[in-house]
Amino acid sequence: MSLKSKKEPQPQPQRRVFKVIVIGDSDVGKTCLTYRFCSGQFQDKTEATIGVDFRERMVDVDGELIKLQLWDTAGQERFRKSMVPHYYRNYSSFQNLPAWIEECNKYCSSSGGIPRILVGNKSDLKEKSEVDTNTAQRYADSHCMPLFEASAKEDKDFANIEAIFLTLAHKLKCHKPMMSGDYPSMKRATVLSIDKELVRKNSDSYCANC
Amino acid sequence: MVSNGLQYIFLQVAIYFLFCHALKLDSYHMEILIHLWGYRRAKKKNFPHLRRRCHNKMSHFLNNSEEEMEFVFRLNSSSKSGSIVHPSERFMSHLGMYTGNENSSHHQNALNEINDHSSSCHTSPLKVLCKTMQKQIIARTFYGWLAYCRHLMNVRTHLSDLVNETVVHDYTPFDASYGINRKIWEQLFVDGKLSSIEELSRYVYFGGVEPSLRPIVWLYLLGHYSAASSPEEQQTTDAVALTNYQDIMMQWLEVKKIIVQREQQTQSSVIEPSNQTSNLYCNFPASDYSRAHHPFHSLTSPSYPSAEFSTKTMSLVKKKCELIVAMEEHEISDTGDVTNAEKFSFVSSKTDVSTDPVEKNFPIEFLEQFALNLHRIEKDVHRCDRNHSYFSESRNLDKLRNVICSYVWCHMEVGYLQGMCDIAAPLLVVLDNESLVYSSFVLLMKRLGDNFPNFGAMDLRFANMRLLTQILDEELYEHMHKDKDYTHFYFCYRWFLLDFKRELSYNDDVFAVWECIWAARYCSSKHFVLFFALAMLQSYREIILENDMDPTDIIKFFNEMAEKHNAKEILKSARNLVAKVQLMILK
Repeated sequence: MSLKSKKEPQPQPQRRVFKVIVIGDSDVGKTCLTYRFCSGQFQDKTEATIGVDFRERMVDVDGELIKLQLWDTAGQERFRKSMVPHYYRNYSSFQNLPAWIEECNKYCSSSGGIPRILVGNKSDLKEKSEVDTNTAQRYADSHCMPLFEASAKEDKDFANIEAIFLTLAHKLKCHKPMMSGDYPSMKRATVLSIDKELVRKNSDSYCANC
Repeated sequence: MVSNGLQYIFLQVAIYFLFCHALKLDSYHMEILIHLWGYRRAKKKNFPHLRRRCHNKMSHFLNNSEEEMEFVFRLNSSSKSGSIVHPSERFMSHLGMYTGNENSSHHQNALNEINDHSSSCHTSPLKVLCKTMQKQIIARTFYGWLAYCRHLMNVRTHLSDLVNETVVHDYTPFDASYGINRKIWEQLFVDGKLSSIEELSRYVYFGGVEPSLRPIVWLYLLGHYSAASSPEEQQTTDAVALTNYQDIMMQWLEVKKIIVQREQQTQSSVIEPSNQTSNLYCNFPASDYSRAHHPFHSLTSPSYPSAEFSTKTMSLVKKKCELIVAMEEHEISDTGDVTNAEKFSFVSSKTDVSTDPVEKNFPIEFLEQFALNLHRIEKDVHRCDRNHSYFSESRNLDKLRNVICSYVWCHMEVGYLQGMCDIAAPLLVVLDNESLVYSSFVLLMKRLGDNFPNFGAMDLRFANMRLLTQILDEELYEHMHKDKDYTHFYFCYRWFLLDFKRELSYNDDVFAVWECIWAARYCSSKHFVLFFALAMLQSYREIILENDMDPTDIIKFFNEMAEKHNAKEILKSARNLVAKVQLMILK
């Protein structure tokens, strides 16, 4: 029985888990962003993430309680060789977006359109901004992603942060009907965030039944 | 449970059948039921169940589909039963439900054979059939057991690589459980030389080190000082380390200067693709460099590491510094009014210094590569251990940056990888001396460096961890085996990468565990980290099993538990685990 239950659809509706992966250059605020969303707090002194961490929060999407699981990744570039020349010349996390999108596509392309969102973090540091909203918006549009600008640090910006992940959760939920019913459905979404100073792309989320 | 690494499954099966044989199985009043461990279903069960039922329970079986799932095979005597089901048919029907793991594959083979056999003599008397089956089963089981023993031999051989052969005890020759204190430390020295690094390690391994003695003990354990070195030799070692470090510093600071210049030029000449995304160089304000990193400034400024040496080496270092400054001033005395930086350029001593010395000697790619590394180091140094009082002072962060940059400069093929700061930081807190930290860091990275991405040693750690768990904690292993993601042991990634630095509370635990890991090399195992990891995992085994945690739960659990572990207890059980494996191998 135990074996069968894994392969057969669950008789009773099980709480779904949407997984969101946050990616982007190091030090753009991936950890703080997820921490703010999941705990409501701003973590003042975060260290570089090693390996992977994740945080969870229950969200209500159109009446369905869904567990959003945010995977917080290490920003260290894993494909350094191909990225180096580009990276060096720009020193900007925004300039590295194509590389991150490429990385995302590399692992997620099979499932087709993965919902993505671009997030420009650290919007409190307006004076240091390297990327203006229009540029970021154009980029986001060209890659069919919504753009959010937010600050994980500012308490008043919390609603904005929530909007990022709730939008993603909605996108994921709408994405679902495309999937086959019997199998754990995979959905992916990408969130990109740009900051005035830094850019992050967040990425892929998928939900699974099992 | 598993007492010496042997799982007695096969032995038990063999004995069981022999036992059945003795009981005259063929009396037709017997029913053999080999119960397969249904670990997929019965999560809490830690071991295969071997059941024997001496009564006819056919109806029971037929009605109990749950149990049916779990049987590999069974033999039903039909003498008292109304309905006769031929054993072979029953075997066939149950074979499909076989859900065992790979360890039991020969069971399946045995069953197949039995099936073939029993089918072929479908018409032969049941008695003969039973006898043949017994022989087959016993033979097969025996072979299976042998194969399993061979497998365990391999495992043992592999395990023996993980621990030292010699078993060292805490009570002999002297009680080492109190660790190194001032008195014992003095006793360990004969004529100013350490009598035995093994003995020192034994004390450290079993009892730790008094904080005030840590710097010197660490330098011994890490191999900065050789065991038999005299105080004079150690002074020389330190002096050489300092000179070496200063050389390296000068080299990369010079290159860093060039990089900053290039960036400023590029910034002014290159039009950015989008002018809104300009000022890409604000991360490297030039003023910052000239202030803190000018080579000559560094040599003479009080903030230079040499000025902070321990009192022991202070005078020596001062002399050394003066010597270096004097020598270099002498060297450059004829170069007129060039800037100090140019004077100290390491390139200038080898080649002509006409216009742009460094750029002539380094390909652009190299400069870009190093610039990228500097950029990454900068970002991580600023957020490394900021909660620790030591790193609340920016000059200490500068020290950390210098050590890491120097390392990266000498290991450009590796480059900076996230995690290096975490490894260097505790060394800096304890030794508080840049050149010694650099030397220690290089030594430490010889072991830890392989764990970083691109070197592949991490996979080996995971594999060893898996093996060790399988041997030492079967139940936990079975639990993990349910989900293949588990067996990747990815949740141990940070543990091994940073020697548990992020898992343990900073002030004492990290230090205590680190010195124990280093000491273990001499007195128990070069791979003590594995045992510590398993001990840490085991300390929560009840929680893991009771909550039926999956791999993501485990990652989350351990991330939340970071810095809350009871390091002393875990160290103790880790030492016990080593002893257990050593005992196993001795047997």
